Amino acid sequence: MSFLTLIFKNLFRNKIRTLLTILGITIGIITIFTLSSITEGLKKGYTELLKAGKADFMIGQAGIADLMFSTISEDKAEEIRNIEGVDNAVGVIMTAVPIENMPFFVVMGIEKEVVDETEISGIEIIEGQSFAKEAENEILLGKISAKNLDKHIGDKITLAGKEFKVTGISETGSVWQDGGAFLSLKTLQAMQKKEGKITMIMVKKDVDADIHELTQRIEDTYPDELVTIKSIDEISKVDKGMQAIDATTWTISLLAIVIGGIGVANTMIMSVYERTREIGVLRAVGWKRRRIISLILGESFFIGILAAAVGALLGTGVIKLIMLVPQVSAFLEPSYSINIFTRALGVALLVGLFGGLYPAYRASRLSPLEALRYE
Amino acid sequence: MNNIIEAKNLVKTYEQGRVRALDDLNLEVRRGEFVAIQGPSGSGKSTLLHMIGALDRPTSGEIFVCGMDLTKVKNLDEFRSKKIGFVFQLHNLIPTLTALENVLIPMFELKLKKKEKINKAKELLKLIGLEKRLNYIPPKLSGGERERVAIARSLANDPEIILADEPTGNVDSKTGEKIICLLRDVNKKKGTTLVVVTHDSVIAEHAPRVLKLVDGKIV
Repeated sequence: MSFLTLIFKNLFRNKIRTLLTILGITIGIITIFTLSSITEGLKKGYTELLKAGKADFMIGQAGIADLMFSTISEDKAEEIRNIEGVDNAVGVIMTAVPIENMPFFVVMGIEKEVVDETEISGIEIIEGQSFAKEAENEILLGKISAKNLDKHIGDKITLAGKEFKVTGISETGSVWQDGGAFLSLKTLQAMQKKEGKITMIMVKKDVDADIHELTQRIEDTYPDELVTIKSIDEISKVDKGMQAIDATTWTISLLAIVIGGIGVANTMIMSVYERTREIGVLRAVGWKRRRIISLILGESFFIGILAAAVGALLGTGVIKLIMLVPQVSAFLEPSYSINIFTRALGVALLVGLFGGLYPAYRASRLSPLEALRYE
Repeated sequence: MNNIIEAKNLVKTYEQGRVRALDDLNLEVRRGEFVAIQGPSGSGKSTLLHMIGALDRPTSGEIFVCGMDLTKVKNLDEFRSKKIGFVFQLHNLIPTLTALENVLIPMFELKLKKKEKINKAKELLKLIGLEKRLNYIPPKLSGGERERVAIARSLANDPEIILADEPTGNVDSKTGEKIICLLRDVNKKKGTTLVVVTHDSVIAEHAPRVLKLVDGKIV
């Protein structure tokens, strides 16, 4: 019999209690797991948007809380294009409008020439064709939204009170773009009453230009006016919401550790108390204090590991359920990175450690004399 | 030194000296001896057993066990795991572990290979006549069988001394006699020193030497 077998057998002496404790932690793990994979999914959405096409980086307005609020003058795209080291720069306007029963439908205004220039836009027309140049009532629908809304080429679609004809279905690989649509830049500007304004500029650099030097130079040229975003790590420059979501996830993780830890501590203290005599016997037959500590900590760690496994499994299920809602699947693609599994396991192990420390200490202080007490 | 246990002027008090459990006790036990310590409850039997078994330290006096001065030994856990085997009044087996696993428990501190440990545990269970009950958990064993498993467990670490605290306290007299015979056999076959604490005079009859303990003194 190995030490692990002993730990395992001890755990399942009181099956109901152990399972309830595991369940308690599991709920925390599911929450963390779900939140994390949604956060990661949102970040992935941004990353895809950044990387859609072959743009090297994008430029947004400095000092804003959300990319959707970014407003830059159209001329800036032209100015950026003339900067040394820049190969091409195109301005796009982006907004989110409710459509039918979807609350979050991303619409991007983009020039027809840019749509055709896959090099920078990354748009691939998989069916039909793009909207005509400066067409006022034509729309290029992303493939996910085409499926969710059940629209085909030639169908009509109403967007913010205006009717459009679907001319084509597109794919970029970005869940936001595929779950949204493209319009002519001028049309969307007019609809938003933002003539001459754009949301962001997608930039392709010269092959031999240094991206760090170039972005720094642009930010230095337009201080407090423009920010450059090279990677997802810089997204907080234009999206404070992501930071808030991150902070929330961590706060909830911490709460889960505390609540789970208390649950484990309670269970383990009870279990140690019930086994007072038995632990006394183990001490009497020569078990060192350290081995008693290992036994109790081992048991609480094992509770944590089981909770992590069950939590990850159920968490995946919960996300699958959430994704069944078309409104959500249009803008969110959950991410199951190894990071999230590591975080869930990490939290579960911390819960096991915190919950097990005090009971293990208590158990190790028990006197071997307990084995010979007979009342 | 032929004495495996030697106590001189041993005193143990409880509750700030108000209770004097052992009172200037002197005791000598030779290696390989079978000694029964008899006395009414409250006479200090268990306390004496705690002292010999290195479960507790005396208030004053000297106690040498296996040539070691127990008032000076720093690591009593290690001493116990190497030198002493306990048989408790209640068998104190772990209810979820099989007979075999229970016998393996004291071997965690021994440096033996897994296979060797298992073989040894099987051998011990054979010695006490339970080779057919290896995989039974205690609730499936009779009272006498449990006590026998406890004896096998006490032998798991090849102790020099077995200390038994009322080993027959929880079984009928017939089973009790079998158990005491088994302990005597172990004492004879293995030469392990055996100290049995009991209030049962019938059991004491089996011991070649009986010491009577009254008010913390041997009379």
